[in-house]
Amino acid sequence: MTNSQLKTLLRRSPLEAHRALLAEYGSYVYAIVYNKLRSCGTAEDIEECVSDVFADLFLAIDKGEITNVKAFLGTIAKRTAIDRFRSLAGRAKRTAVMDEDDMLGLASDFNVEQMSDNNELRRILLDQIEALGEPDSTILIEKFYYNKTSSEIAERVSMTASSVRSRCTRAMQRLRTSLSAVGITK
Amino acid sequence: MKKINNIFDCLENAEGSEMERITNKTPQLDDKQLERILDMSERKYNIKKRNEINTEMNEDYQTAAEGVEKYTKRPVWHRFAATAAVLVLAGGITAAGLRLLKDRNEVPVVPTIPNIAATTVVTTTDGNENGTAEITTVTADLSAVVSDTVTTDTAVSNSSSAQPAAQTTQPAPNPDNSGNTPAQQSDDSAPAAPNALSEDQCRAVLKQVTDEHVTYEEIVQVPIKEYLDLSDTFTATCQVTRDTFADGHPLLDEPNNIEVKFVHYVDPKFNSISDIRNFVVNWADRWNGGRTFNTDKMFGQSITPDQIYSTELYIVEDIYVYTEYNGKIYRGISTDLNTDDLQSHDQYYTSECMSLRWGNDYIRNITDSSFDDYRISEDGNGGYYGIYRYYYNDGSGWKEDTSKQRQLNNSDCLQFIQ
Repeated sequence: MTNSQLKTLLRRSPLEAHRALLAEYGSYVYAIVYNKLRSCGTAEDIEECVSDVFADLFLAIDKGEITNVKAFLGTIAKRTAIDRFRSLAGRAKRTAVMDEDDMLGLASDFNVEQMSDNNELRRILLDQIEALGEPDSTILIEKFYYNKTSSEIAERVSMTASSVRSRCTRAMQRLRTSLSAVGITK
Repeated sequence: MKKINNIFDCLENAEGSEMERITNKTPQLDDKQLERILDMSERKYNIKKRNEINTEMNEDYQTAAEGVEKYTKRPVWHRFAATAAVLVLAGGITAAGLRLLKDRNEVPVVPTIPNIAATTVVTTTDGNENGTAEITTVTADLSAVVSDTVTTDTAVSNSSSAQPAAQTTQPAPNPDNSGNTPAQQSDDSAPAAPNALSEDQCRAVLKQVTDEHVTYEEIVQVPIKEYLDLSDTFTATCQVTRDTFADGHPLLDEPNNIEVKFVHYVDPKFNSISDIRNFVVNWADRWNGGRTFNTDKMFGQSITPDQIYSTELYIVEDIYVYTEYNGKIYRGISTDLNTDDLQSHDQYYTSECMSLRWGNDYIRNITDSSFDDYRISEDGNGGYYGIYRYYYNDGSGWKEDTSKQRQLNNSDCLQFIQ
């Protein structure tokens, strides 16, 4: 959405403009907030934090303070998520729904002792995940990072839940192979 | 819910291009989620927008309670009529009692007057048109049935009037139920509470809550520009030895070393770390049901430059601690913190007041040492929501009884709004 499109929509219906902004940038903000709060926040905490960010955006738009929506959102989302993390940290660690017990161990028990720098591990992991191609890389991220169920993923990638599960198992085996090639083994 | 421990956890706290890569793999919000978040966002946006408008409209920005129901000035003749009514009532009771005593030669039972909802209250207005203060003894309604009583004014006594005052009788939702017809909270036979607070005094308590909340946040969460002498710092390392999940399952096998910058702390409110700690503990006791974090770690460690101090779990209050060094107080902050962007106290106070002071306060059941606070706000969808809090002074200072705190639904709130 361009700035002029946004202004036109705001004049017609602020609520529709807000909805359009959420539709366009909601997943972007969600990703940033989730990335910070994944270890300590519930799904409700994360959604509430996202709503805080968009409330600030709507207010800033009213005041004419926005030139770049995405840049504004990126900054505010990170700051808001960090603030929320500080107040949530110390609570019980994150838990998640896993719909199939047998998949629990697929992504666990990797030996990361050799990796002294978490940043390096993150980069390597992302490289190897992306190398798997689609839809496998999306399935793995949604499954083991966003903790979605196979049914939820299936809707998005237009597959059945059982196909998602079998695809996920094969993708993790391939990922494990590629990670061991760079020194990250079970 | 099952615990998760997997290599994908390392994707957390990504920055820059890595965050972009993760974002590209993030699923779009589904319709229900989008509507849910939009609904929350709109509500918060409306609250913030209204608070900003209120701020702009008030020349002297009030951080005290706003929207407390104002009481109307009474016509002067009411004062005399009310006084006469009370005298008649008192005279009748006395005569009946004496009659019984004479007839029966035993301690008289003072007849109760059924269905009288009113109690005698004393109202002191701040001043009439002539600028002189008036003291009025008022009986709100002599004939109302208890459950139907609606006193339109909240009558309180000005403590400077030195007149005895009664508990206010304004009906209010019973804090122990929700959505039901509010029970009359006054007790006809209960003696009047002496020296009930004024509304100004109640508002002062609410302001105190806000002020102390901000101070607490500034100590624990938010470094404030003018309280940090950035020319006087040293660094040390906090070693997180056992980053684990709740059941003790280790996340990492080796410690997580975090560099901490200790900055000379110059908040004029506090002369020592003990003062800061005592404030935090006292704040928790008074406003948070006694709940607080481990103050031993945050205020009880002695840390020197280049020292490695350790803690088991990644808990912010255990890492970014306060210490005394060379006779000065130092506060630990993250080395990633952009100190150019620190807020001043006034900036943070103002922004916190905007979020803390949402809604309007309706103060009820004021006694000499307690009051109910119903804070109510619009929800942006034509309805209302709020929160009930009970404040009391047990002789050691004002506190909130957090066990009584409860959310207010729309029907609870409408009884005030209407």
